[in-house]
Amino acid sequence: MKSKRVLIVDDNDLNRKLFESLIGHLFSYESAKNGLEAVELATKGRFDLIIMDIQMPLMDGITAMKKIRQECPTICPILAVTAYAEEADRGGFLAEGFDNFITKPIRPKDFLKLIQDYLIVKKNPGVQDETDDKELAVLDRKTLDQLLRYNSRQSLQTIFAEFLSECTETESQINGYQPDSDPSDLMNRIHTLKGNSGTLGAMRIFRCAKAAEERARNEKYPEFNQELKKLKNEILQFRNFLERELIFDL
Amino acid sequence: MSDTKKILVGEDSSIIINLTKNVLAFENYQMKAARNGKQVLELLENEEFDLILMDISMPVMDGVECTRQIRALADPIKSKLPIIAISGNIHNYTTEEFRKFGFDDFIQKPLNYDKVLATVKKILS
Repeated sequence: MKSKRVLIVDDNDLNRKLFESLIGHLFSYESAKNGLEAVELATKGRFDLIIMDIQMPLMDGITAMKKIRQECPTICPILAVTAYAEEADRGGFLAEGFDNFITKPIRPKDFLKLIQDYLIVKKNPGVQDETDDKELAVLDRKTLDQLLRYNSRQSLQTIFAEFLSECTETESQINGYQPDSDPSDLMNRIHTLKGNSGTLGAMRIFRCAKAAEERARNEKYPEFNQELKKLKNEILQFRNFLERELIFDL
Repeated sequence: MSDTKKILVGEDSSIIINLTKNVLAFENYQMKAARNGKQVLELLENEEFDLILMDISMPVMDGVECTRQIRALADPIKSKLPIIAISGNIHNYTTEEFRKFGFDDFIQKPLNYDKVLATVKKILS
């Protein structure tokens, strides 16, 4: 991954050194101490990601970000680094044009995870394509990134845990479902699962839940039963995926 | 920001409630949740809100019936509150049909929270 280049911009020596040591293990980087230096480096070189402090001498991070967007040939994600005290302005940073932000003091694991998310997503953009049914991601990155902009990792972790227990309940309800019993309870559960899975980016569960719901609504029960089996399988895959990928270090 | 805007969310999934709460807090909106249409009406009776996000499929009282009752309220402010439908739309209603039910706007589930926030901001600005 050393082919990926990160530009680190921060006037605080300690912060910059910390970023450099974390990023340096995995990716190559260059550093700048203020916005002016950052713009100069960005116009000269190609970067895959820029990490930009906001308050800096000579030129602040917002101005530098805008200049880079206007003047530089390569457009890469630019993340704002903000102090905790500025957290109320988070929405403002995104509105200004940053792709995301990192709150100081940083937690190294979370920080690296975010950096990797950006640099690894770019490597394989086709997987995210919603229209390509066969390639539907178990967990859609774009959706996850969007959720991470609005939710802390910790609170998303809680929400995904709740989703998993909802999956477990769905599984046991499917197991208890007899072909001749009234499907309305199960349909309600699947309807909720459909909305939740789609919103959380669990696209394969979403696809199955949607298909199952449509079959039941059209009273095509043999197909409905088939979709239930698929749904159970997708739930299993999703649970394994979350455990394997350690998205939230569960 | 002058006064904080208050948003009422009618939604039976706690996952959507929690996500929506975080997203709205991001723009400093306050949010209260109701699990069905009946609870929406009860909360609305005792409190002031600036906007309602309303799921359609809910137990006890669904979002369409709840919106109908809100529009029929005597209170001139509450009966005219902006109401946005958030729905998987199994009945395949058109936006026009949602308008006829009394909704101001409709957001399709699965929710894209950039869109949710943009729609809320547009209506409240």
